[in-house]
Amino acid sequence: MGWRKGEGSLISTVTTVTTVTATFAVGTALGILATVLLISLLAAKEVVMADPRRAFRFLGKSLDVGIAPLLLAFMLTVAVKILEILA
Amino acid sequence: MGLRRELSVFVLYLAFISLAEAVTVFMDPSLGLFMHSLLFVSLLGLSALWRGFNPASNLFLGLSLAPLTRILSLSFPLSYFPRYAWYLVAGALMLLAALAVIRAGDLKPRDAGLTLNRPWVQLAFGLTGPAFGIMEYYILRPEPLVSGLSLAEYGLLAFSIVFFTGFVEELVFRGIIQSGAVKALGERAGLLGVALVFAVLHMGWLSMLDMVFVFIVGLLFGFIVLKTGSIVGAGISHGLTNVVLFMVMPYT
Repeated sequence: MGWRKGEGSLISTVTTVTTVTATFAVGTALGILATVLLISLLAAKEVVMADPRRAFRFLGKSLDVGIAPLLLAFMLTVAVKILEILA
Repeated sequence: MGLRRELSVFVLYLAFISLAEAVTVFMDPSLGLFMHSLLFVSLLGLSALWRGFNPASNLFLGLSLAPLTRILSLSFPLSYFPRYAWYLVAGALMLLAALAVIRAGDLKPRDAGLTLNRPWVQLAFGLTGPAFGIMEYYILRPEPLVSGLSLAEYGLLAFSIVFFTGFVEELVFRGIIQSGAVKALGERAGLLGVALVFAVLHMGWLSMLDMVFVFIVGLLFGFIVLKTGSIVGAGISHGLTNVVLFMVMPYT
């Protein structure tokens, strides 16, 4: 289930580019997990920003660290899928 | 006593990140992603808890970029994009996360090494990259990244490797995480700890020798950034290392 060097479909280069696309099922599971994480972060941000305490305000701002790239990744994925359907 | 507590927490997180990475590589990528997600959220929580009275708050905020690197690289379907654009897309996502850390942590560009102190030293150090690339090639012997690209595509790939694997990774590891670690843990522990995190995230290559190599190079990059206060030289060197490793040596 992990990746093995030399398997063409499992590509590991440097830290920022490591993809696991061994099977459609694994890729889908990873995508779903990331989407669940994004939704959880967005929900958590709404909750913590409602609290005026300093630590909560800071946590709300910190959650953008995950929300911003995951949201962009999600939007790019959707855009590519739509383009694929239209093409 | 305080420093010892922060160091213990850092070591604990280093151990958990290593475990999550090992699970991702050797067992189950989905479970690894789940573990990295838990680490990411808990690091943000700890950072918020210590905000305002403990300088380690920014260290743990920055360290959240380590599990996030893996979350993004595992979950984003890069295969939807042409291969020459992978580094650009993956790097853009990490750059966005790094900028969010700078904003949330109230860091000034100088705090993250975004200055051009001693430009000749930076340039001279930057030129060490090809030598590191050749050395790492003989450790890993990677396949050529791509073949049959047009000149423009080849240029875009080289630029995106230099900028996004060199500059962005140096911004993340040395500029943000190391600067927080040095402030919170001291120079020695900060340098050592961040070089270890950097090496652990190269576990996917399944080469212990490469992890040792990356650890030593990470220490060197960290030292240069610490002494010059700028990530420019390390960024150029890191980028050129990867260009030589993936785009030059495999064709020789």
